[in-house]
Amino acid sequence: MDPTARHELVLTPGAAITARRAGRELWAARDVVRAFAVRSLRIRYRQAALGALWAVAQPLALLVPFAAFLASDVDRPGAAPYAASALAALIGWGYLSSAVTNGAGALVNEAFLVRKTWFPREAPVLAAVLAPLVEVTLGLGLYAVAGPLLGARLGWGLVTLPLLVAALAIVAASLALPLAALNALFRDVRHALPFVVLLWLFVSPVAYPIERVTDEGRLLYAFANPAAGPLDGFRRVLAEGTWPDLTLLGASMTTALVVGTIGHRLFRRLAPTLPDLV
Amino acid sequence: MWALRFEAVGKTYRVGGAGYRSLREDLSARWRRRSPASTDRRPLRRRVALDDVSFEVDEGEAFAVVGPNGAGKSTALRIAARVTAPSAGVVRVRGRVGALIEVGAGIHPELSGRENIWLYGAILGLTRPEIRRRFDSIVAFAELESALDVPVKRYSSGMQLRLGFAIAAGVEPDVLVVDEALAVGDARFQVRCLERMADLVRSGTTLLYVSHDLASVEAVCRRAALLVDGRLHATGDVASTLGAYLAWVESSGDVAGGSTAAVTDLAGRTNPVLAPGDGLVVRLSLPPDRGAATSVALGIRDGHPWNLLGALGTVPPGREPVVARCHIDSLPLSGGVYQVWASVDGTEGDGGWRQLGAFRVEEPDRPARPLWLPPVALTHRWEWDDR
Repeated sequence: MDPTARHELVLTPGAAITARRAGRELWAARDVVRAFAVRSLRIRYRQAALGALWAVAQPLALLVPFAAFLASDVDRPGAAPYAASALAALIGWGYLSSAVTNGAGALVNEAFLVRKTWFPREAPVLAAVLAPLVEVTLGLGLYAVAGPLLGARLGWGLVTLPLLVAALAIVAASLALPLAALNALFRDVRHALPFVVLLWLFVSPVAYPIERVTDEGRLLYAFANPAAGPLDGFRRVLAEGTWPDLTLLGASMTTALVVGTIGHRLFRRLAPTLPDLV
Repeated sequence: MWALRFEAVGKTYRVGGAGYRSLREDLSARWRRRSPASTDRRPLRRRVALDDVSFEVDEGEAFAVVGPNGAGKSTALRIAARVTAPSAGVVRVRGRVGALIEVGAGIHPELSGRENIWLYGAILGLTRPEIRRRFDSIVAFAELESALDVPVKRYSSGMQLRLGFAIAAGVEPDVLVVDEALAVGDARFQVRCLERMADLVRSGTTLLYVSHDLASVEAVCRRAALLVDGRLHATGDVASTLGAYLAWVESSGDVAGGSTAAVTDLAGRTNPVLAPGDGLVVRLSLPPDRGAATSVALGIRDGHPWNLLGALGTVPPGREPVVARCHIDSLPLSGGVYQVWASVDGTEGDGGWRQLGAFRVEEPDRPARPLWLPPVALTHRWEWDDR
């Protein structure tokens, strides 16, 4: 190797690195993200008897009370049966909640490595956000079987499914990055998170369709809750057989990108102090 | 061309402030400090680990950082490995850094040895084909073929060390950073590690090495820096830096309870440089306020926490000496750096051993002792027959 071609690394006190440098270092370390993701999947299922079945068991289990107690209130004439549309949203929600929860804990869980080696600190967080994509794939496999039985309608909107999954991943990453860094700083995050995620489920269009929000309020709702746009999309393409509502989706993604930009800034500010914190 | 540069580097830790906190504790601590009625006006205490440290390591050079415990050696290495950021100054590194900061650094306990090689290889910046190519030699070096699929948490600390070192050295980094972790390994593995480090240096790797085993520092490194209390006391070739270290040890030589000590050669020179077979005089004051001493034990060490050679002096009944002097006529030691330790009225175990001073043995025909050669030399004579 030509010695002059070696990359020069400059380490300076405290100041956060630029978003651009963070992005470049993260891209160079994409194998690290992959290694973390593969690892977390292995560890998660190594000692679990049901293995990856958990991925489909959770949305199915939640569907039972939803369908039993809410179907008669929510079912609307002309729409797909409640169970089909609730299951569609539950599959998206299952991914979102485990991506955010695992992502927020990623740095503290990797304390062992964070204290002793350097790697882009985003890597374990993003890996935790990406790893459950395997589960969402299994969940969609479940829906391919259960959906038609529950009365789901087929439509060309299905081709947008990968986009909707990507949108959910962006929403998850935008929240997981700042939460992971704050979790290293304050253990309150760990206590608050399960409760906040539960609250988030109730204010997201999972148990009920987005039409329960008034027409005028709907756009504001999609801005306020970045999960609303993609989850509504899941319901539309999987259960109703229509196309996602791009306005609502755009509103949610705008919020996710703003939150993600600010969150990543906070993350970069805290990153250099992490080895002393976790 | 340098590979690693410290430019006026400082590092300060917040004492008591760092660590896992809860928001409430943080807010209430801030409130206490602000409120006028509060008597708790403790400022955030800070501990200076490094202060204005500058040095440069050339490409392909083996460089050691030596100094007493708590001098900031490990902090310097952690900064070079990018694990922690400096609080002042700039550190520049050229190329990929492989680091073994302590036993188990970079090793995840829940993963198997095999998974750890993939993960740590990726962390060190290797692509998957590059890891695949080095995989077998890493496993062979670590001698873990049979335990490759066992989670590392079930490894002994020696096995963890072998794996960590094998990965850090096996990825052929441009800059290899090794902290004193090696002391955990068995003697044979230590020698293999040192040989491996020497090999890497020969093939162009830059080495930054910290160890209390001054013999290995001398065998592997050509230049060194002496850190004391976070400040740079000396930099230069290994011999002169170790000389400065010995002079420092001598000047701070202090046994329990304010007693003093001196280690000199037979002519009375302190900080002596001896030839093999030369003698040594150790003088040690015994403060009367600790009661009459009954015995004094001396030990000579080469950086490991055990004595290579020893001498036990028993105070004759009825005497109450205030100074003990031990004359050693001849030392059967090979070239290297040695410390003199003593224990007054020592109990069994490691009770009360303190370092008194240090000295150096130089062999005129051999600049550094080869790694395989133990420090204690046989009194011997070779004969060669041509027929």
